[in-house]
Amino acid sequence: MLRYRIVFVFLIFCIFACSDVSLSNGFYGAGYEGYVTPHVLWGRPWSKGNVRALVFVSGVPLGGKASSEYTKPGFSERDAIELVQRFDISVDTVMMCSPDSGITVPGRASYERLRGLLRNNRYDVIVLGNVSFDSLKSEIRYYILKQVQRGAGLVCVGFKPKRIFIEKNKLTEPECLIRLAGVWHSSFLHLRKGEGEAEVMRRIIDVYRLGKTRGVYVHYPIRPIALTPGMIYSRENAALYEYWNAWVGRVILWVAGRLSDIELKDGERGNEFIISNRGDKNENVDVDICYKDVLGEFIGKREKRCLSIGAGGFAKIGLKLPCVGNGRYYAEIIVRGRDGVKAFGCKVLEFRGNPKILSARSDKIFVEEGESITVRVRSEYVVGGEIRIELVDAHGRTIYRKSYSLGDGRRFANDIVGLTARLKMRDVLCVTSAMRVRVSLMSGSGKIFDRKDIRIGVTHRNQEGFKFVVWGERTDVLSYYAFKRLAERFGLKGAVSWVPEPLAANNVSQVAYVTKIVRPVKRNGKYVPFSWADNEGIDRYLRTKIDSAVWRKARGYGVMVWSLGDEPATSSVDDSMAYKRAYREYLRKRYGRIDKLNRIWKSKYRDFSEIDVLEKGDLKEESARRRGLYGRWYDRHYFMRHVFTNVFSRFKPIARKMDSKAKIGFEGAGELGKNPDIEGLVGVNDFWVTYNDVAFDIIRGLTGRDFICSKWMGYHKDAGHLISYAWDTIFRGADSLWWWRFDGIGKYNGLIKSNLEFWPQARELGDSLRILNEGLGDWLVDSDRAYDGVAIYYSHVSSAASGCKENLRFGSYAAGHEAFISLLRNLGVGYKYITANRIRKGELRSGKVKVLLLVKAHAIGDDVAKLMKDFVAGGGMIIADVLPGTFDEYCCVRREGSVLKFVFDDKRFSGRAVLLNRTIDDYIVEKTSGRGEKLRRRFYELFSRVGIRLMDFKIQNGRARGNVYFGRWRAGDVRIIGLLNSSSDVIRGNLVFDKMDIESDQKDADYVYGIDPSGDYGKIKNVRVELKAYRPVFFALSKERLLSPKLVLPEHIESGKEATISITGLSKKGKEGLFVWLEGPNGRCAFWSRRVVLSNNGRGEYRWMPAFEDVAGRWKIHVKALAGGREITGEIVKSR
Amino acid sequence: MFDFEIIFVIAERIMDRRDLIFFALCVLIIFFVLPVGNSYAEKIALVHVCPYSRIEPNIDGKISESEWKDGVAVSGFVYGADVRLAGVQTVVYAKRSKRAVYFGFICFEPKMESLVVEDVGRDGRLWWNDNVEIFIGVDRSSERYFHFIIDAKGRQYDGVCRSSGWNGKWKSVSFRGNDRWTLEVEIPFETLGNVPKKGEIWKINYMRGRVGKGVKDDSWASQWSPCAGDYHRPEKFGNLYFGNLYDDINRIDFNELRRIYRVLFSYPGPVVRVFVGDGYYDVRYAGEPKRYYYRNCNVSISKSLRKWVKGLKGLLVSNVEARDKKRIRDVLQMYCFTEETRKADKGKLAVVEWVNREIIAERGISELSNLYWDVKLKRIRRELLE
Repeated sequence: MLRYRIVFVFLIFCIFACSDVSLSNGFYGAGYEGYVTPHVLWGRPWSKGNVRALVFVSGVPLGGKASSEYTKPGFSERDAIELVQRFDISVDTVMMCSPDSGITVPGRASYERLRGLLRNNRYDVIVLGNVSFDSLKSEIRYYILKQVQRGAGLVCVGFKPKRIFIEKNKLTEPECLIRLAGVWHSSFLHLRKGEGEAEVMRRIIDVYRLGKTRGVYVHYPIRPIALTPGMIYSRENAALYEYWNAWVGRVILWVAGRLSDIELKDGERGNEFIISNRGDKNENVDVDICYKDVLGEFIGKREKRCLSIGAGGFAKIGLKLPCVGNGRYYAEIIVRGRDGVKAFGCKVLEFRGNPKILSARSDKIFVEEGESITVRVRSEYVVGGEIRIELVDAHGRTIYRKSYSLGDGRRFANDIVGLTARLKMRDVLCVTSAMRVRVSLMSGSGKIFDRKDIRIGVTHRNQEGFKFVVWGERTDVLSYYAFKRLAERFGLKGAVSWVPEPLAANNVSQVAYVTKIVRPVKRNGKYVPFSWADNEGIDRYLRTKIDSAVWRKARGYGVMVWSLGDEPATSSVDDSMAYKRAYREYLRKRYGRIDKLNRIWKSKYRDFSEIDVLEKGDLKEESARRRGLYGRWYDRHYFMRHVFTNVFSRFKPIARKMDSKAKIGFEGAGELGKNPDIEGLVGVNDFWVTYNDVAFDIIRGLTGRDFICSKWMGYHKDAGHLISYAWDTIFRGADSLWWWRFDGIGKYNGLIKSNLEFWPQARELGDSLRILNEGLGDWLVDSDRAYDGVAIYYSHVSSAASGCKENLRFGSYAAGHEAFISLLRNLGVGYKYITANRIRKGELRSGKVKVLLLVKAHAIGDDVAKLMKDFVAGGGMIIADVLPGTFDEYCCVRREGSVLKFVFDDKRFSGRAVLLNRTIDDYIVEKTSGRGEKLRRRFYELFSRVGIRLMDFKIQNGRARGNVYFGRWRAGDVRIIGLLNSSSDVIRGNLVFDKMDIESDQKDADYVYGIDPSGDYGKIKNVRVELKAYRPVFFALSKERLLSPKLVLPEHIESGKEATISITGLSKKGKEGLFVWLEGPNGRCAFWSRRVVLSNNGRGEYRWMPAFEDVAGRWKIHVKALAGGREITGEIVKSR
Repeated sequence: MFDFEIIFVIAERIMDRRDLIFFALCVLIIFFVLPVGNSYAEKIALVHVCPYSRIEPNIDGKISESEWKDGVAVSGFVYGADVRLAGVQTVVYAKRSKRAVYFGFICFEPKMESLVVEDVGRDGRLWWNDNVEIFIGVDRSSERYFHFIIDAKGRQYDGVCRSSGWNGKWKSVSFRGNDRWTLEVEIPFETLGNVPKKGEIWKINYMRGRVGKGVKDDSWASQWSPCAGDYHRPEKFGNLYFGNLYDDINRIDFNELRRIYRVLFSYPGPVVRVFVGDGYYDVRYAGEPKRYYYRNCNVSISKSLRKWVKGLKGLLVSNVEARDKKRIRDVLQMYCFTEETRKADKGKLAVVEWVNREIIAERGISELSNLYWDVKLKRIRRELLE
């Protein structure tokens, strides 16, 4: 019978476990096992037991309109978890879409959950963290008050419930809430004249009686994260955040009536405090005291005292700061009894008795690689004393230290001495973007009298190598941890953000989103008429934008790219005189003579100054298109796009003035349907990150490797799509991945949740991309994309002509290009784009082009057509889908038909001038059908005719080839081959290597190495491949055998001196990607040490600046060569 | 949830075989019986029956009774993550012939003067105009689907999944009336690359975009099958069932629908709602499908309102301020449907009336519940602060 009982009890437990799971979304208790941030255990375990709290937190709706679909949750939920880490408090969190909307996120289900929580649970305290009680629905307010009636306390942060917290019930603030909190010196709580610390705290807190319980209204002078004030990240504020949490925890415990009888109070003297026992029993307690500086770093050792305090008695305890210099310090006091923590507090201690540094200034607020900064110090004179200058990075590591004798300084009156020190920034790789120059005044015996920190930025642009970039303008203390997590998991290199501090601490550069160019210009709060064709106006506007203090600050820490975005394809047109003047000038340059324009336009203008729109009000000249006056319509259409090209060309010199290595461009737009001036824009810009469109392929095909180019991602919610999209972007030649809103917006999940945990799909994506961050990304970006001599013709006028009624039957221009690119990628052909201008410059004659693909090339000029004919006559091949060149370069219909018709009809060119006479747009849909396979075979055969040797990937079901994309790169003599499975099925096949190289006809097979998964296959001609769903495999091929790398290590290294570690024995003619990391004597791998090294001439270099804090002893250096996963480990001794 | 393996390891250790049977029974009880008693928010999977018709409609944009009487109409477009009924509704007819599938849209529009119909070209950003969108997945096993957008001028956008790359041959013509704009669409099966057999089920979703000035949030982007924000989620699409106009229980393959949604075996499965000509069936995870007729829509609505009416009537007899009592009486009067309202509905488009009544019911429940809680809140506040 007992067994049955056990089973039943177990099953009943299971039922409760199951039901709890359904409610556990947003429950955090004592067993919290998620991401842990640094914290102090102020109240765990708490002597008065666990407190159960329901915490409302809120996000901010995008665009200001309350809607759960577009809520930016920030890290408000994490603010509640921070409390759980520190106290014996279990919380259920509920996310609201805005502080004053009363709408729950994500929707009705969460509302039902909230209702269930309030109806089925008994809470000790209800906390509204930056959520207005009055905006909640009547039902929820009723249930909250029902909980209060049952004995729960109510804490409202940010918003006062006007009808609940009424004046007649207001109480005097208890001393425990206004003293020993330690936070009143924070920068935003200034002491007013004659005001004490307690008064300052009284300004932010009001206490009320609520029936038998209590209510507290907290109103910070700045917007809270949820429970604590939302301070902008700095190391000082991160330290303060700890004490704000302690204070909020105390408020909650007090409201819940759970403060113990042991109380901490200020003593009469500044450096003492009193422990009193209000209870009726003797209490034996342990008092833990530790000291920290303003950056939260420990000073001295922990003190521990055991006390016995009688009933109603008290004890005075003095605080003794360890031997420190002038400055402000925090003393953390925790009183523990047998059953847990009894009381806690923090006291601010000021020490001013030592000789002091009067001023410490640097001549620059930021420094570039190779530049120096000058630090000028004025200090009180100390006999035999010295000034120590240190360089400290964002992790608190001191990487440079030098002392100057005060005797060497310049003496002023009143025993003041001045010193100047110069620091040269040799290698920015060894330091973080956010640095501090620490100036210390010391005695001859090494005692520190005073210390001053100067914050400086070290410019890291992160423009080279592979980049993971996110959008997210988060600024608070918690955002630092979010960026840290992203840097560790995704190798974050850049972020679109307005505040650089949390980024710089993680070595993340900014994407400076200077302005939105479609936005009307605002001056003094009013929109003013503005024309984007007015050059003077543009210059003035852009100068004010880029000169703003925000970007000056950002530039110091490092701006990856200056973005003037987005939507440059948006039609910019107006009827201002400036616009008309610019348009007429453009036409004058294009046509030269008015009669030429009249011939094309079919108009009768006598002079360019007469030109105006065809129909009044029709600024886009759509009426001209309707009437078949395509030439006239196209000129206007192109000019609208050209206006933006002009804006960018003016933006560049302005940005360069501020940042000499600025990369200019924009992110967004790029839809080919809107026909942006791609060739013009890539000519004046240095980067362009488009939305998902074939425009990305055209941009990539027209630009070199130094042009930063990618597509935005982050809109999917499932791991499969995300992984597939990310790898597809890499295979298409992107040098970076750009994720929109890492913190999520309502329906878009982002990478990190509001509680700082990764979304499951993001975690999976991070795992999949790990190899990119461990060297493959940088290796691919440093390599050249394979090019097999296939060029695709792109022309803006053809793209425009595809919208004319004569060409509508052929479908959109974008569809044709997308289909061809998909086909080429399936076949593994390396291609690039070519334009009319490049053809005119002789690119077809260079011998580098073997096949010219004319995809819906409706409009071709006479001169370009002639060059194309010469190309075919010279042995090249032209493949066209539909009859090309039926329009001329002015977008006018050719009466005589196609300008290239005779080329396709000419028997001499038979076999080399191929007209498919149909579009292949359906290939996207049919690539896994028999028709898709047939088309692939036909093109395989066509390319073979001109000697292009393609890869052969044999799989049982040939149709599945449509789901496999190839990527090929060349790093010197080392070739990198990637295969990507874009489907949800596993694909197995045999990859034949010896058919793919167009440049060499070597008979021998190459040495084949697996990159991911790693492996050494030896000298083989083919390999069996298994492609998992949505995932790639990579191989490295080398003509020479790649040996195990060797390390050349210095005998020993010491703090503050740069050490260079050489890695040899690598491919001599090719480049290799290596991943290097260090392991300390304690066996821990230092995150800051993880770095990618690319080899050159068989050699790679890893530079390390050992910090004074780095443990002395034997350090291990691990090197992993990606090709074949060849590893080596060496040891190096670091002296003290 | 917990790990089955662990349970059985524990179970094996403490029990013999006879006990294991008992244990297994208990587990079954937990998973399949106990949850029945729990309440859960119902999810509804939608099925639009698309009947065969010999009459091919003349694609002129006008939805005439003669052309569409043998089509099945659905409505009840929703918006937002909360899945609320859109303030301005849309009715969609569907039927098929041998060679094509036809859709007729009635887009009710109280602000006809503010329709946006800018020319953005083929495959342009039609979603910036007043438009309807059709998402069709012809192969249930694939994530691929066709995407058609037609604006109030009949202009076309087509693509596959999120890409506009694909172009097909299909017809669309719109017509603008006084209080609505209508649209007829013909999509040949040849274009879609698949001819459906009787009983075949495709994925489908319809979306309506209203972009004019002053359009409220509750109707600027409404969908038939709710996709909560990201409309390109085929797993959230509804279904197009190639069946008959007034399909009855014997003709519809409910087991197939149950299989698709695993209604038989998975708890809590969604309610599968199958729209036929004169009403709909609700198929649940247990029991026979339940039939609802549009002509009885007031009855079911009254039922859903009754709970709140009862609660408020309870408050009327308790200690409530006179001002609140008057408010309660007014609201009760507004949402109690009478025999007269039922009679007045006759002869009108049933699906439209049904959805309008649903909207009223949704608003009614919201208003009645707000009033109920307002009154209760006042009372508890008074008690707490006194």
